[in-house]
Amino acid sequence: MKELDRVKLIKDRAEYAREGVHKDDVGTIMMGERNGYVLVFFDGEYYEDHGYTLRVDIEVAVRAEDLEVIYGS
Amino acid sequence: MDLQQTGELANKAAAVQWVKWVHPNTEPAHTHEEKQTNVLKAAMISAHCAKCLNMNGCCFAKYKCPKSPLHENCHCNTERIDSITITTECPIEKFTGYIFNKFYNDGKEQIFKDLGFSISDSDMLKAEMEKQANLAYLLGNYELNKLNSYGQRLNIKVTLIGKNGKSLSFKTGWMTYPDGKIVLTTPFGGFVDERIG
Repeated sequence: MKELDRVKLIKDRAEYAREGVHKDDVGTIMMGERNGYVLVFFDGEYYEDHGYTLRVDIEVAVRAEDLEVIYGS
Repeated sequence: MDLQQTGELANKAAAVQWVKWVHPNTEPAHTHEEKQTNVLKAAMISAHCAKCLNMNGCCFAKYKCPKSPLHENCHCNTERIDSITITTECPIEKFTGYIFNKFYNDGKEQIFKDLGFSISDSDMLKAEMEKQANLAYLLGNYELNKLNSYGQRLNIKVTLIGKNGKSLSFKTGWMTYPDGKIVLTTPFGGFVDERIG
């Protein structure tokens, strides 16, 4: 598991639910392990801004053991 | 930048008071091995949490420091430091493997392409981000973003002048590490917000 890997959340926890993230949600590891956690940008909704179509990044600190790599970078 | 501007910036930087976040009785984790040691400590001493361990040693302008306590029974505090050496690190992969990688399909690539940049400009973009973030952090020109178990993130405004002469300002995301080091999390964190200096 390393930076820029695409990952799937495999466990629900209250700390993730508070951020609006749930089991099976998919995101990208943006920073590697630090004290047991990795920083994941989960894929949010698309929105329009300044003429661009962008995707919301939902930044969540996730315990490494709660993730499954679905595509290695 | 002329001599007068350099002098003005130096004065502004000197006026910033810095504090260091202190989690008593633990060493800041600079390396992966030290972080693993902290994980063991946290497991053995239930009073420690990852949020506090990852804040330990991180530096903030006094007026832009996260508020303590971070949680119930938190025994962290801050201590004033007289000087700081800023280190900024932008991994090149944030451009070569992320922004300019169509696989991620999050719309960010087009922003950089419209400025005339491509994957071959990654080295320049990395250097520019590090340079601008270094100065902004030194002057206290950042916005506190999320704080969670991974640590405290900062938003820093960056302005790029494209190859086509077009100028664009936007937010970049940075993670705080001990002793004045910040590492880029995302090269694009949204268009600029007037609240950021």
